[in-house]
Amino acid sequence: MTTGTGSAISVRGVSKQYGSGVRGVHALQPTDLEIANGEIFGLLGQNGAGKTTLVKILLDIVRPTTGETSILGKSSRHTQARSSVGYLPEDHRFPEYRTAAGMMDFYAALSGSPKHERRVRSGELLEQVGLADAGKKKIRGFSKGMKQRLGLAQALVHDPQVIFLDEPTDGVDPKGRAEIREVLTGLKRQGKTIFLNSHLLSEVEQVCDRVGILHRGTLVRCGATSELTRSEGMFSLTTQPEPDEATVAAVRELVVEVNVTGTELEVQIAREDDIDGVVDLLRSRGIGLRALSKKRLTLEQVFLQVIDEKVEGKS
Amino acid sequence: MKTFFVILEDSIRESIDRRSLIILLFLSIVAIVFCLGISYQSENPETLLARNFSQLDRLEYTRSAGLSSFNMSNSIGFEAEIDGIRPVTPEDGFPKDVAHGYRIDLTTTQSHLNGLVRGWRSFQEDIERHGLDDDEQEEVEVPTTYPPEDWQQALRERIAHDLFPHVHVGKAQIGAENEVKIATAVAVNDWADIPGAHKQSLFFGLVEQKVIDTSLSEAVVNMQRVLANTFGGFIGILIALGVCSSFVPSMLQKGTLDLVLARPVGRVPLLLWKYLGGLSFIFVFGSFLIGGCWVALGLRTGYWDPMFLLSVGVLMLGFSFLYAVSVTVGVWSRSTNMAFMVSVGVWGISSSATGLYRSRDVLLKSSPEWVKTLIEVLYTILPKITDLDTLNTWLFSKATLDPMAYDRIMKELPEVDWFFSLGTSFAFAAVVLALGCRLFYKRDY
Repeated sequence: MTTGTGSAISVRGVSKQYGSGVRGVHALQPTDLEIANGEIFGLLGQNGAGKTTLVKILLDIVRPTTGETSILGKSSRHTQARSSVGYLPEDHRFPEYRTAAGMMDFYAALSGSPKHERRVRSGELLEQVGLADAGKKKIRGFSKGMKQRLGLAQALVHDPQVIFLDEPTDGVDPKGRAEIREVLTGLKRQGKTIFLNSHLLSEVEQVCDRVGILHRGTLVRCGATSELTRSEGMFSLTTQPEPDEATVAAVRELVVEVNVTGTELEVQIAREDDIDGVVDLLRSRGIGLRALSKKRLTLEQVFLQVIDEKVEGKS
Repeated sequence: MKTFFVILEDSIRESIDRRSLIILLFLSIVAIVFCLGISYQSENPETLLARNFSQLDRLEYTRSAGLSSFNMSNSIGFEAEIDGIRPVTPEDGFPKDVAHGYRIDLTTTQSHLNGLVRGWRSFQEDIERHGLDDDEQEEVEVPTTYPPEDWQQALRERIAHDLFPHVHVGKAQIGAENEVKIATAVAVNDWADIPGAHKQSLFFGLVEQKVIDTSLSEAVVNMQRVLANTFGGFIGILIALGVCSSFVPSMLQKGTLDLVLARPVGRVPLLLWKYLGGLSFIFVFGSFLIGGCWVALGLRTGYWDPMFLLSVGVLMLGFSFLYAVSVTVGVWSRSTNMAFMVSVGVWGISSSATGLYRSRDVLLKSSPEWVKTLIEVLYTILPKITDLDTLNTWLFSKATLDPMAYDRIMKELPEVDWFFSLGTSFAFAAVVLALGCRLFYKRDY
C-alpha cells in the first residue's frame, strides 16, 4: 500500500488512544503532517504531549487507532518502509555485551547492509561522533553521553534516507551537542530527511527548517522556523546619541510600546508603516539611526506563548 | 535467512556474556571426561561362567508403567555345583549354535531340579499377572515332582532368561542318592552381551575395578540413557530454559525493542528467529555433550552407536515444546522469571499427567471421575516430554543390545502411541507459539 507520494514522511488523520472506555487515554488526536524530502523537522512538546507516540506510529512500533502514515511513499505497516529509516529512541538500551563496533554491525546487518559496507561505515561514523577509540570497547563501560553519540551513529550506520531522532542530545555535554549539530547539518547537506524530537529548543531552532508544536496530543502549530519566530510589529533600533526623555516620550506617542536601554530601542507598533514615523521623529530631533531590524522571538518564547495560550484557552 | 543468523549470533553472544553457555559447555566437558575415564576389562571366561551359573537361583524382573513400576525378585531355591568349565569340543556332540561356546557340567539334586521347575513356572506366572491383586489370583494345585524333560526345559529357559540366549542343556544323568548330573553348554558369540562379563573402573582407574551386573552393551546403553535423558534431557534442558527464557524478555525491554522494530524485520519472523535461536542454543549444547560423549564412549567401549547421536534431535524436540511456552509467556509478561517458571511448570504438569495417565488403572482406581477426566485432558493437550526418554532408550537399545536384552528393556518401558504422542506435542507447541506470535504482532511497544 502506498500513500503520500510527494513527501518523505506523511501522516494522515493519525490518532492514538491507549485503552478504551473511561480509562482510555488519547495520546494523539487526529493529526496530519507532511515532511518534504531533505527537510529537518523538529517536533516540540511537553512531556507526554504525544511526540514519541507519533514517531513510534511512523515506525510501526505503535499501531494507530485511526489514520495512516507513510515513509518515502511506503505505508509504515510495510516492513520495507523501514529499510531506509534510521532511529535513535529516547531511553535507548543497547546490548551491553557488545562492543560499539559490534553493535553498529548488528543493527546495520538487521537493516540489510552488506558486510563490507557496514564495516567501512561503522568506522567512519564512530570517528564522526568522536568514538573512534572506543570501537572495540564493551558498551557497558560507556557514559551516558558516549551511549548517546553511539546511538546517533547506529541510526546512521546503514545510510538511511529518513532519520528519526528522539532527544539526540540528551545527556551530551555542550561540546558533544555542537558535534551532533554538526552531524545533523552534514546530513542536511546530503539531502537526508530528519525528524527531530527535542526539549532543547535552541538546538531545534538552529537546525530545523520547520517546527511543529504538539500539545496534549494535538498539533497546535506547524510551520517554517523563521515564520514561527517572526514577531509582527516588533522593531529594534540602535541610535546615536542616546535619546533623551522627551524624545522617548514623543516616540511613545507613536507606538504601542517602547523599551529603551541606552542607545537600544525596542518598539512595538500597530502597523508596519508606523516605523517610518518613529525614524522621522528621531531624525528631526538630531538623533542618528545606526541600525534598524525586525525583532524575532526565540523558539522558546514561541513555544511558551503557544502553550500558555492553550492552557489559558482551556481554563 | 540472513536476519536469522544475525539474531542467532546475537543470542549466542548474549548467552556467552551471561556465562551460561560456558557453564553448560563446562558441564558437558565434565561428562565427556567422565566417559573418557571409564574403562572396562573382560573377565576370565571360567570365572564369569562360574559366577553366572552360581546365581541361577536369583531371578529379577522389572516393568514400568507411567509412575508405577512392577519389580520382582525371586529366589527359586535352585542349587548346583559346578564340576567343570571348558571350551566345547567336537567330541561333546553339542548343537552347532553352541559349538564354539563353553561346556559347564553341573551336579545337583532331583529336589533342586523340581524346585527349579516350580520356581521358574511360578515366576513366569507372576510376570503374566503382575497387574492383579493377590485376592484375584486363582488357586492352582502345584505338583511336587516333574519329569526330567521338564528339568531340562526349565534349566534351559532359566539360563536363556538373562544370561545366555544360546544354550544347550543335555539329558539329566540320575545317580545315586538323588544326585543328578547335567552337561550344559552356552554360546559366547559376543562377550559384550553377557551380564557380569566385565569389570568397570572409573575416573581413569582411581575408583577400583568392580564387576558390573549387566552386560557391557547394556552398561553402554544405560550410560547413554543417563547422558541423554538425565544429563541432557533434564539438567541440560532445565539450564537451557533458564538461559533462553531471557532471550525474548530482554529483547522486549523498553529502549531495546524500539531499536530492533525500527529495522526492516517483520515482528512474526523476528519472534520465530528468536525461537529458533533458542533451539540453536540447545543444538550447540546438545551436539557438544552428545558428540563428545559419543566419541569418549566409542573410544573406551568400542561402541560407535550412531543412534546415540540422534538424541541431539530428541533433546531439541523436548526443548522445542517447552521453549514455545517460554517464548509466549515471555512476550505476554516480558519477565524472564515468569517465562522460565511457567515453562518448567508445564514440564512438571505434563510429566505428572503422562505418568498418572499411564498408570491410571492402578493409581487413579479410586479417584473421583473429574480427576480422571482432568488427567486425561492434561495428558492429551500437553506435550509428552517423558515419552522422549522412552524414544531415546528405544533408539539406543535397538542399535546396541542383543535381542534378549532388547526385549527385556522394552518390557520395562511404557507402551507409547508415537503418532499421538508426538502429534499432540507438536500441535501444543505450534498453538502456543502461534499465540505468542499473534500477541507480539498486535501489541504496541
